[in-house]
Amino acid sequence: MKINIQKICGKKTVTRDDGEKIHDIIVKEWDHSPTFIINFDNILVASVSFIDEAFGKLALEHNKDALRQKLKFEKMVDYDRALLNDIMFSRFRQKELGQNGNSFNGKM
Amino acid sequence: MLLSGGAQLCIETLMELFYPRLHTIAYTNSLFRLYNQAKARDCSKLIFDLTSTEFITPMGIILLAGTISECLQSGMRVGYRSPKKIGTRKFLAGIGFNDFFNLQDLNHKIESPNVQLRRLDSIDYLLTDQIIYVFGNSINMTDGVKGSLKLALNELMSNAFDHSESKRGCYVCAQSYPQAKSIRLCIADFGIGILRALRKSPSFGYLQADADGIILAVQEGVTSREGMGYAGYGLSHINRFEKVNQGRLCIISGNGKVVWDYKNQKYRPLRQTMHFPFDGTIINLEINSDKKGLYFLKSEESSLF
Repeated sequence: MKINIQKICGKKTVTRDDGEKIHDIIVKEWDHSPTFIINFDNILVASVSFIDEAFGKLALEHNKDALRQKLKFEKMVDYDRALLNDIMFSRFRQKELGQNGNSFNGKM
Repeated sequence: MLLSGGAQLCIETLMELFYPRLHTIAYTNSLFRLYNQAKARDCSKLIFDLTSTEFITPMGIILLAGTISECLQSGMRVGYRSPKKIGTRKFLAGIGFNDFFNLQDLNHKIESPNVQLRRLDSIDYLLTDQIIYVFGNSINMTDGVKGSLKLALNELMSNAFDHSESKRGCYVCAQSYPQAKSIRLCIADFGIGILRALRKSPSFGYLQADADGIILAVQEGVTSREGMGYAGYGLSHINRFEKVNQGRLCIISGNGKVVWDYKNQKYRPLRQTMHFPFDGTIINLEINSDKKGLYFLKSEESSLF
């Protein structure tokens, strides 16, 4: 499945609500789609809230291999890619520490 | 005493607040006592007397400036007596305190990198860049660390604007101390504090103590459900950085003060109850600025994507 961030979110790539749109699409199609090709069109997102809500939370539900296999990020600027990796590792650490993420449903 | 309008008796009551020699995090009880006296507004004119003051940290500057601003905002008449010590007066000028209140005193430029006292109503990305410049001037960091710190600082400030219900945004000030090999950064708001912000969420309604709220807010991702929460990533990331840096993070909110004193190898947060409460939230960072080592993100070492 192809997901174009700009087409779905336009300029709204800042808040958790914005990120939730992408998250919901991925969750809905997770079992039906072998891969998600997520295209950022080289726009700079630079928002922890957006990236965490859209992708970070997936780390609480799935392991590294599954995420690496399913999610492909295209035309993503280096800054956002570094941020995405940092957030994913933070979420994995959180999972390892045994926090189940119940506190994460809110908005930051 | 003033007589006005014949039958009406108006009394001008004057209160003087004598500030201590040191305005540091260790003296917060004294500083909060003065803040609470000023906030009580039991007088029509208030004098902030700093004649004995010799050393002020960014936290002290913000607390002083914020207290004066709150008094001015309430329509109170405010007077100010500058420190006797010339070095302190120079520092106040250099750190932007005089400009903040249009005080006519000395002009002075501080040589070591700093971020002058600012009050913000919204995120100022240039200011965050400036803070990172102050850090980067003394610490070797990869671009990834700089970027993540920038985001964390932006998140802290956004929390002040979005969740603290502060009417006057937040205050920021930072100063590098090359001889002491440290950098001090303070971000503070005069809002409702962490505990009240968190308790607006049903998930955190059980919280009773300010210190518990502070400790919870530093955990990764903790925030409340209805968008009224406090820190999520900002504080936890800053805390991780302080741990690696062997620095010190101190957060004060309500009557709670919690210190993560990695500098002295104390990895458990130290809780303290303040004698006098502070309504808002103060986040005070002390960063080791010796140039040993390079700071990088784990994700820069091995990327998932």
